[in-house]
Amino acid sequence: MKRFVCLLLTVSLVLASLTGCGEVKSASGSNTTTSNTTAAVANTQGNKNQANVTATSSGPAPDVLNVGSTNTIGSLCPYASAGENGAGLFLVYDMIFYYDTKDQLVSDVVTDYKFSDDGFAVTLNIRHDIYFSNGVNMTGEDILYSLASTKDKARGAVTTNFDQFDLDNSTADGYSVTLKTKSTATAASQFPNLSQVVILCKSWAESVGWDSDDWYKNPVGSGPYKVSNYTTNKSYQFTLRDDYWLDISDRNYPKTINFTAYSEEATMYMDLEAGSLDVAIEPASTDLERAMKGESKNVDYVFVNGNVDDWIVFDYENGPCADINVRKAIAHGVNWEDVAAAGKGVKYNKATSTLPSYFPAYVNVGNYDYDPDLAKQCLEKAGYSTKNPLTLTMYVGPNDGNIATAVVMQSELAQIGINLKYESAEMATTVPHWLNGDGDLSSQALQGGSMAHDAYWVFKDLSSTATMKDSRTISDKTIDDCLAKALLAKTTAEANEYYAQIQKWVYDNYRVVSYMEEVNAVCYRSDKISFIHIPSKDYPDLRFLSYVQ
Amino acid sequence: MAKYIIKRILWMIPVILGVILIVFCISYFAPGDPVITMLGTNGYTLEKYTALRHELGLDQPFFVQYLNYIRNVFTKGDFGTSYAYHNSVSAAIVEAAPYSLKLGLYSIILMVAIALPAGIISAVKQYSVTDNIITVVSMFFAGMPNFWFAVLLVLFFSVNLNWLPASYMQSSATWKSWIMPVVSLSLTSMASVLRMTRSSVLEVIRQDYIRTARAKGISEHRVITHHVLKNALIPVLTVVGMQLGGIIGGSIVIETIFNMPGIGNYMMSAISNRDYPAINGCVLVLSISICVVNLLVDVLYAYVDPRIKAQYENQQKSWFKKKRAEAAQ
Repeated sequence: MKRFVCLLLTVSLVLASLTGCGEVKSASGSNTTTSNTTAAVANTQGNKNQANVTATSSGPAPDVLNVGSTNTIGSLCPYASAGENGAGLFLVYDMIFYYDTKDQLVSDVVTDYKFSDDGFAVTLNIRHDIYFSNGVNMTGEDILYSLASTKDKARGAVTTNFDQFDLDNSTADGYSVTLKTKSTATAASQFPNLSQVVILCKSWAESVGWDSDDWYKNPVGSGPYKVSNYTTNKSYQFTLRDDYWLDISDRNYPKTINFTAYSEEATMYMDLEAGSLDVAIEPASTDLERAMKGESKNVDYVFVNGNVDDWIVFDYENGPCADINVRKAIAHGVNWEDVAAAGKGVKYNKATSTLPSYFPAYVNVGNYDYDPDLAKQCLEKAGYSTKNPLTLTMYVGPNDGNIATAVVMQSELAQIGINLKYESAEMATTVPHWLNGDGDLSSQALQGGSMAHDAYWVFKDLSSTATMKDSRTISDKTIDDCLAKALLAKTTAEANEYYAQIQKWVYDNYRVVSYMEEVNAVCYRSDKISFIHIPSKDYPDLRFLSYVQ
Repeated sequence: MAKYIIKRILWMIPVILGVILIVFCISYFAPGDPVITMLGTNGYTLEKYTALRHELGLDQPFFVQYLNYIRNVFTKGDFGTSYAYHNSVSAAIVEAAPYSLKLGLYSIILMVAIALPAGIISAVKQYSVTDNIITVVSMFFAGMPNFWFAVLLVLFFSVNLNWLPASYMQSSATWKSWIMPVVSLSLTSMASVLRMTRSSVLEVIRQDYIRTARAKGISEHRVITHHVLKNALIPVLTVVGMQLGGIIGGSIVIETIFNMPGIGNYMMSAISNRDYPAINGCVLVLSISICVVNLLVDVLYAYVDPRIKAQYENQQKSWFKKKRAEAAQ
């Protein structure tokens, strides 16, 4: 009898654990290949429920909004070398211009702006009653300083490209700023878009320097929120300022926003499902899939630009990839959707150009069809075949997604007669390989640029004038010439024609294989939130959420 | 006794120096260049690379870097600057330490509070249904990975029942936020303590002096608590000491799952980011913790077992006696 009881107890415990196994969905991160779900996301602009909801139909904001992210907590210095907290920047600072919930460029700070007759300057006037949290009155000097800082501290993806502006000769006078442009009216006409820049208090920023801890614990901004609590590398608490200079009685801001960084995506999503979190930024692909399938109760999602395009770039000057037939064979010999799904699960769109599709200068040049027979023919023209295979080397980064894509490429290229050897190592080891031009091809992630989505910034890295010569550098005269002409173009449309030429040229000559546009998402509690505003579809602006009524 | 404790503390120093040497060598000889990691592909220029390398002292020879590191650690408590976050590793560890200490302490208390009584009951009621149930349950938890158990707890108590918070949220943390992390860490470590308690008590309970105590009419409760338990505790203490190391190590995963801002979570982030100063700092702190814990366990032996205390004192007395005899000669 005793033994029977023990046996029964043991069986019950084992069954209980197996039940737990069955209900636990994989939370292993974004490198898991999906099974039946359509991997490609149809439209980064679309989302499940928000099409019928406008930002204006909102219930009252909660007292506390809990937000989670799997990125590092970041700094509230917009140019921090350790990375910035994008959502936090919107809260603590005002921006010169920003996208409102109707995707219009607006400003709370600028009252008016005017171009000079020749188009080489733009003068903007700001309000006189803007105060930073330390009581200092905002003037044109702060605006000019903030714009100049983007150039001085440019880190790449998160800063706008002000190469086209002559900030050294721009001036500030009281509450006015006159910006000179180096080239043409293009810069001036793009000015509002390029001016999605946080406004810093010049006197304070200069006094603390860029590396001060005050950027984390006590940043001085003119925005509606201040930092009331900060835990190193873990969390921020933002509290609405009593002394905010703008009347926001018609806006629906929560009193407190808690922002927590999670080292585990699964933990963040479980918190969202349990209701401890209201918004989860950048969930894992497997968790996003659950939200898309409706498996998580009261959890909805909206897509966000991933701000990264993934390319395969070739060493087209040395080695086998100098032959366009080899590049064509690779381009057509791999099913790039398989590669994308292996790397990102559901978080990608098929790339149809070198530029991401949300760029104003983007043109659809198509993508390379998966055609193994064509690939074999091209390879045979280059003198290789399955009986006489070609061996290529590729250096990839260390994360699981990179390795997964390399594995898929390896297996599919093997079928057409290419032995792909890949080496995965830490970035500190891999980057020197790229810098040295080692490897016949490599996987590169092109940062999608700033919120301005400026094509010039992207193509500059391809040109022979790029700061870092790595395997992305194509160094072809075509690109250099087109870039120079785009800079001198009189209108945005004219500049875009040159960018279109670059995209077409790269595609026709198989210079890169742009196989994936990364997509990200924000998941949120649909029983609490009805709308999340994503300016430029890049990052959630936590000021402008609509809440369930 | 004091001399013994001081001697043990002094022995910790070469142990810590050895740990520092090992972790420093690992990070020094690891492939790759951390400066490139810090600059990133977009921020890299040769000038910035050279300047940053010099600023971090990475252009110095190995022994210079090692000695500088030791000097900074012992004189300033400075573990360097994090490559990933660009802030002081020491400050981050100091901020994270209370959470890890609390988690470890609560887990140990719960582990001992469950394992000791359960082990005693199991031993006293050997071969009974109670004994079998306790044995099966302890084996069940012994075989279950603590991280998996943690996830099950979250799914059941947070997502399904909504009784407990799924993770430790700084802004809204209460005593409920500690329940699942502590339970998942302690229950999976409790099995060996329970089993050792059971076997130790069984061994002691069969001794003649226990039979004598019972014969004298002492209540069973008093026999167990005053006679059996004290004598059975030595091996149990040993196992508890070993489990403390497991709890300190296991807390790394538990803190990550529950997003607790402790040293373990910080270390996991550092490993993901290949942030060697932070990894070195965390390993050093954890090593010191284990040394201190082992020392405490050894000291506790002396208080639990008077024979050990007397042995130390006799050694000391005999040393003094010997010296006096030599002096007299």
